[in-house]
Order: sequence, then structure tokens, then C-alpha cells
Amino acid sequence: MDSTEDLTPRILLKQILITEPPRTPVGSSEPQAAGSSEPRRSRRDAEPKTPQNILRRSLRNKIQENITRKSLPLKRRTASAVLRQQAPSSSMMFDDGETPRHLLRNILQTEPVKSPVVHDKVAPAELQPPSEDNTVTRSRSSFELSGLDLPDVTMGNIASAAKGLSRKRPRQSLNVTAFEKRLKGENAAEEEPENSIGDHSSLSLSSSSSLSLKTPFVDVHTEKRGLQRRVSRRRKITEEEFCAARSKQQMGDVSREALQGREVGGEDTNLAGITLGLSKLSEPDVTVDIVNCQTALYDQHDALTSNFSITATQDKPAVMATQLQRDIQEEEEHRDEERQKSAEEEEEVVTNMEEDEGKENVDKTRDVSLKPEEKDDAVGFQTFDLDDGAEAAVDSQSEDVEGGSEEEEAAVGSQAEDEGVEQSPTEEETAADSQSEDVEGGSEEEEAAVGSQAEDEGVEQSPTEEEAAADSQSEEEAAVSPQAEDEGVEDSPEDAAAASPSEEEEAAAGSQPEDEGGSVVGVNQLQRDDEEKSDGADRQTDQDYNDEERNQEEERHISRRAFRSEGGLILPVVKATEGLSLIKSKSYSALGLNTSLERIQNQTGKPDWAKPSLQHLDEDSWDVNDPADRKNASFHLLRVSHDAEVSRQQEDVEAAAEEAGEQEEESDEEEDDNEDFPGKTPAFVREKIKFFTSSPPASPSVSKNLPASSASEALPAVKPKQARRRQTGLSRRETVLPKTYLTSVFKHFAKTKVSADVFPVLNEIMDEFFDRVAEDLETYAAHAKRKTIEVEDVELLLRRQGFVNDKVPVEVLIEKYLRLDQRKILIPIATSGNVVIPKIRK
Amino acid sequence: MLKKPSKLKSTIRSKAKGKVNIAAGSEAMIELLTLLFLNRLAEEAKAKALEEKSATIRAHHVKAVAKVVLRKARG
Repeated sequence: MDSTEDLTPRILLKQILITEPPRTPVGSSEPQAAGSSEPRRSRRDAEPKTPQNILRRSLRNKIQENITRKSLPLKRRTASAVLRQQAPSSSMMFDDGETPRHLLRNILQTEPVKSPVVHDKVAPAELQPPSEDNTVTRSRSSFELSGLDLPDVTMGNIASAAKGLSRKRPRQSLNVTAFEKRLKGENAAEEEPENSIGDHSSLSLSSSSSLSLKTPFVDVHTEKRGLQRRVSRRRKITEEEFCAARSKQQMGDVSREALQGREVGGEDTNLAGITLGLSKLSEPDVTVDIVNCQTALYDQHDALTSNFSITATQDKPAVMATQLQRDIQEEEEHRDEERQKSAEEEEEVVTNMEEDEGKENVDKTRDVSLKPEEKDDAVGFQTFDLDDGAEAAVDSQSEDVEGGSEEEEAAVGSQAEDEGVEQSPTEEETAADSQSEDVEGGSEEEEAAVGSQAEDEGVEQSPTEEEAAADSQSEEEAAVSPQAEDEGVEDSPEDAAAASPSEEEEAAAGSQPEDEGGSVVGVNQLQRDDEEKSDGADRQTDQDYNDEERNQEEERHISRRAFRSEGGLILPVVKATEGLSLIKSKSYSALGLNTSLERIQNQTGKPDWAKPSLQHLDEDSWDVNDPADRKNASFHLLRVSHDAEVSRQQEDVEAAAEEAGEQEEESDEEEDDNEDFPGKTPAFVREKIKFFTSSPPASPSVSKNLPASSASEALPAVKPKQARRRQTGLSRRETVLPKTYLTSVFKHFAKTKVSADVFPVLNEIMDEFFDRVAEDLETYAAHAKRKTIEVEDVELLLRRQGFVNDKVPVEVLIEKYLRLDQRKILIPIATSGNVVIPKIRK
Repeated sequence: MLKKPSKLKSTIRSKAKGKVNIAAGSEAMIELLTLLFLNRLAEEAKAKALEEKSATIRAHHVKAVAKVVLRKARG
């Protein structure tokens, strides 16, 4: 019973189909019906005992029973039951409809698929009314269905539609309740699906077929209707569903929050990591900023470092310079060399000046650190001179040596200038003063033997002054010279004195009295020094060169004059200074330095012939110089150390002259020191000068002194040549490449504005570059056992430099950069007639 | 570039330690070398100048990059 109820019509159909043979709808109805019955019976009779048959019979019996009892489930069964019951009664129709296929088909078409709730409720409701008419309606439906396929279906549909329609209204009400019940019964796990489901369910209920959601027919209609009704439905539902949905959401939110919390935690860590990363990123930015910020200082540092490096590299020559300084005569010679190495000296002067400035500003430590050896010597030598003077001299020497060794004069000069500018805004003032003083002192010293002594003093005093002097020298060239001359004549003795006080002021050393001698003139220099400092390196370097040269000359003259007489020296010095305006500034500084050098030289061993004279001169000069120095000291103080360098040079020259004539060794030392600073081997130059001056003790000096300008000019001319011979490469001012060519090419490649001060730097760089290129090419050619540099050598060099690789062949570069005439040589061009240019030699 | 740099041959010859001859074609190649070097130098200097937000290349720009470029351009 129950088991049979559970049976779906499909199952029944299956069984029937299995048992019943397929029959044609009409023709074979009767016979089939009869036959069917008979075969059924026969089958039954034939196969009564098979379990399947038994089951079927039992099933059929049950179905018949069910039909009587229930409607829906019985409908299907009733159909089958009707079929069986009415099978014999109705022939045609029944036969047609009796075929289990037809019946079942109708059943399926008409009967809705069971739905969980609605059908139960509706089913009983439907069952009840149709229960009465079960047989009738079902028979009708079945009858109708069984009659014709199409009409059966339609009828069935109509019937079902009618029923459905009839059911719609009640169903609608029921649908709502059903929905609600569903909603309540089923948790609003899925409101939307519920809604959709509800809609579908209502629609399905409303539809005649009352198919479930899943059936396609219904869905189409239901969907449309659902769409139509969804809004309203949703409104109604949302209230209830929202609660459920909210509850669910809340649950979900909580879970989500939990998850999010975890995620946040992770995010935090990530953020932390990110921040860390950012910080890391920021660090480089900071560093970059720092670097950028430092760029402003970078140059300064570079200059400083360059100077330091210069000094470091030149320690040996500096030491040499110190030794030379000890020799007065050598200083003179060095002076000659210095002139030739004016370029170098310029740098040294600048560096010296800067160093002097540093010293002046009690930056002795720096200088000291740079040249401890020199300092020791200087200190040892210095008696009068304070540490500053000695340091100045030492530094000047070292600086001179350094400058000489360096090839990059301009660079150094620029660097030194930068350093100087950086170091001493105040120094400038003092340096300017000192420079002016030194200049004066220098000129004066040249003019007079006393002045020479003062120079020595000034040399000592103005190692710092030299720097200033160097700067100022360029400016002082013309104006200072006359002033220096005038002042020099008078202040020559004073200069020595002034130089020392000036040095003192500058470097808080005893050099001041010496500097004072030159400080008088140095004042003017100072002013100009300030200007010079602002100027580019070229100017100063050039001026320094000139100044140094002239200073050397002056110094020589001074030294020679010193031989004759103090007074006599003064006059010729004056004349000499006239002719050598530039040198004056240097000489002034040299004077100041010389004074210091004198002191130094006194301690160092000087030529005997020079010593006594120098001693005399020194003593006298000191006496005379003291007041002068004091006067000049103020000036020297103002001077920049640059002047000191120059003054050193001058002093060296002068000291040499003094030594030869009057000055003591100290002055020579000073001169040597002075010379050493700006030039490579100022000591040598000084020595030269001293030799020259000492050799012709009286007459030649006199004769030479008178035609000061001419003689001075002639002498430096000779000496520079000699110096140039000694110097190689670096000393020559010529640039390896023509300046115009270099500038034009660089501008073309730079594509932006290029300032004019770049080109000296460029010259140095190209010089270095050519050195390397030549060396490499030579090596390659030698490796190939050739004496000629071939194209392949250069190509190999290009490859090693990275310009040529597999991606970029040489030819590409050739075509890119070279002119056609060059390209023709390198890349063969095929012309008509199978002629290749250039001829490929194989 | 458009004009031949003068004294290149003599410069190289003077700088070379021993006695070396320079072939005709190699002189052109040496010109190429210098041009490439200058190009690189100019580029680096320009970059450095731009880094300091200056439209003009100054000496200290060139100096700062010179060392690096020289080191790169050694064989």
C-alpha cells in the first residue's frame, strides 16, 4: 500500500512499458487492446510465476486500491487503474488511452511533480474535491487524454489548467502562506534564493502545471511573473528575511571581522614592513639629499681633498723643498724654476694661500698635519718667526712643491681658490691686508736689501700671506707695483718688520714683523686678493704664474741688490718692481715670507758666502724691518694666505739675493720656502737665484739692477727655459688639444650651456686621458710585436672600454662620429667597376 | 668634430713611452676615441649639473664626474 504509494508514475510507466509491448495508437488499438489484454492475460498466464509479474500484479492491485483512496497519487494510478478498469469498457478511446504509454504520458503532462509543501497541502485540498470526481474527472482527463494525444494533452492541460486556474486563487492565498511557512520553516539562509524559490513556487503553484522551479516550462512563466511580482514579494519578504539575513550577516560579519582583524594584523605588519621599506627608501633619499646638500660642499671638499691629496702626493717634493729651503742659494735657483713652473706655482700659491689663510686663522693644525716634516724643519729653523711663519714657509714650500708636481694647475688653482673662498671670509680681509702688505713688502724688499730681509721675514710671515698675495697679485699687477715701489723704498726695512707683525696677526706668529714690510703694499693686494678670490682659477693662476715669475725675478734682483747695499737694493728693487708689477705682489708676500725664511734660513745651513752677508742683512733688516714689519703686519694680516705663497717665492728670490748680499740663511730659507710653495721646486729656483745673485756679487748685480726691468725680464726668460727643460709635460701650459676644438666639441656634446671655467679642467682631464690612451695603445702594439699603432689596436681599446660590443660594432661608431674623409679610410667603400676604396690589402 | 683636432698624432707620440708610429687609420680611430670620451664626459657632467638644478655646466660639475669617467675609460 504505502510502498505502492511511494511509487512514482515514472516507475509505474517503466514497469508498464517493460511489460507492455509498444502499440500503434489507433489501428492496433482494438486488436491491441484485445491483444493487449490477451497478451496481458496470456502473459500473466504465461508468466505468472515470475517474481516480476507477481510484483506487477500486486502493484496494479495496489494502484487500483489507491485510486479509490487518494487523488493525486491515485491520479496516476487511477489512470492506470482506469485503464485497467475501463480497459474493457472503452475500446477505442480507452485502448488508445489505455496504452500505458499514453496514459502515463498524460499523467506526466498533467500531473505536477511533487513539491515539498505546497503539493502536500494542495494535494489534499485538491484531492478532496477531485476525490469526489476522481473517477469522473480522472476518467475524463484520462479519458480525454487517452482519446487523443494532442487533445489529450490539451485537455489534460486545459483540465489541469482549469484546475490550476481554479487553484490559482486559492493557491495564491496559499502561496503567500506557503511562502511564509516556507520562510519560517526554512531558515532564511538564502533569502534571495528563497525569494526566488518562493516566487518560483508561487508561480509554479499559480501555473497550471505547478511545476517546480527546476522545470523549464514553469520557469519561463514563473520567471516572468516572478519578475513582475518580485518587487512586491520582496518587500513583503524582506522584512522577515532581513531578520534572518541580518542574523546571518551578523554571524558572517563577526566571522569576517575576526578574519579582518587577523588580516588587519597582517596588514599592520605589512604596513610596518612597508613603512620599513619606505624608511629604507627614504634613507637613500636622505642620503641622496645629503649628497645633494653636500654637493654644495662637495666642491669645497673636493678642493680640500684635492689639495690634501696634492700635499700628500707631494710630500716627497715637499720634503725636498724643505731641504732646499735650507739652502738659500738653492732657493734662488728654485725661483727660476718656479717661474717656469709658474703654472704649478699658481696652484701652490693658491693652495699655499689657502693654507696660509688657514694658518692665519689658527688652522695651523691642518697645515701641520699636511706637512709635519716641513713644520718640524720650519719650527726648528724658526727663531723669530712664530709657528705660523715657519708653518707658512714650510707650507709654502710644500705647496710650491705640490703645485709644481701637479699638472692640473688650473684645477688646483680653482680648488684652492674655492677653498680659500670657503675658508676665510675673514681671512680674506686679513689676507687682503696681508697681501697688500706682502706685496708692498715684496716690492720693497726687492728694492732694497733691507727689503730683501723683510722679504725673508715676510716669507716667514706670509706663508699665509702668499696665498693672499697670489690672489691679490693678479689684481695688484699694475696698481700695486707703483705703490709697492714707493712703499717698498720706504718700507723696505719696515716691510720686514711689518711683515713679521703681519704674519703674527695673520698666523699669530712672529712672521708679522716680516710681513709688515710687505704688508704696506699688501693692503692693496688684500683688496685685490678678495677680488681675486672671487675670480676664476684661470685668472689667478695666470696671474700667479706671472706674479711668480716676476717675483722670482724681483727676488733675484732683490737678492742681488741686497748684495750691494741695503739702500742700493732698495732702489733697484723699486725699479725691478716697476718692471715686474705682478711679481711685486708676490715679492711683497715673498718679503714677508722671506723674513720668515730668513729666520728659517738662519737655522738651516746656508752657503757661507751668503750667510755672513745675510747675517748682516738679517740683523739690519730685522732692525729695520721690525718697524716696517709692524706697519706691514697689519696689512699682512689682511692678506690672504695666497699672497704668502707668492711672497714666499719672492722672498726666496729676495732671500737668495739677500743671502748673497746681506741676508742670512733664514731669508734664503724663506725664499726657498716661498719659492717652493707656488712652484714645483721653488727651493731649486731659489737656489738658482741665489747662485745667480751670489755669483756676480757686485758688478753684475749693479749692472743688472739698474736696467731692472730689462734685466729682470731677461733673467726670468733664461731661467724659465731651463726650468721648462727640467719640467716635462705638465709644466708646459700648452694643452694637448686646441682649446677651441675642445670647447666646441664639448659644447656640442653637452647640449647645454657650458661655462667658461670648465675648459681648464677639461684640459687636465684630456691630458690624463691621452696619457692613458697612449700607454694602452703602445702596450697593445708591443704585444703584437709591432712598432706602429694600428687600427686594430685602437679597436681593441674601444672594445675594452665598452664602447664596442657585440651589439655595437665599430663601424657604427665610425659612421656616427667621424667625418667622411676619416670614414673613407676606415671603412672600405665599393665603387663601380669592382673598385674598393680604400684598397683592402690582404 | 667638424674640424680635425690638431696635433693629436704628436700628442700621442709624445706621451708614449717608447717610439711608436701611428698609422693613418689609427689616427682617425684615436679621434673617435676622444670624441667618445668627450661625449661621455659631457653627458655625465650634464647629468651632474642637472642634479644640482643648474642649466649650465660648471667646472666643479665636470671635475666631480671626471674621475669616474676616466676610470671607466681605461683599457
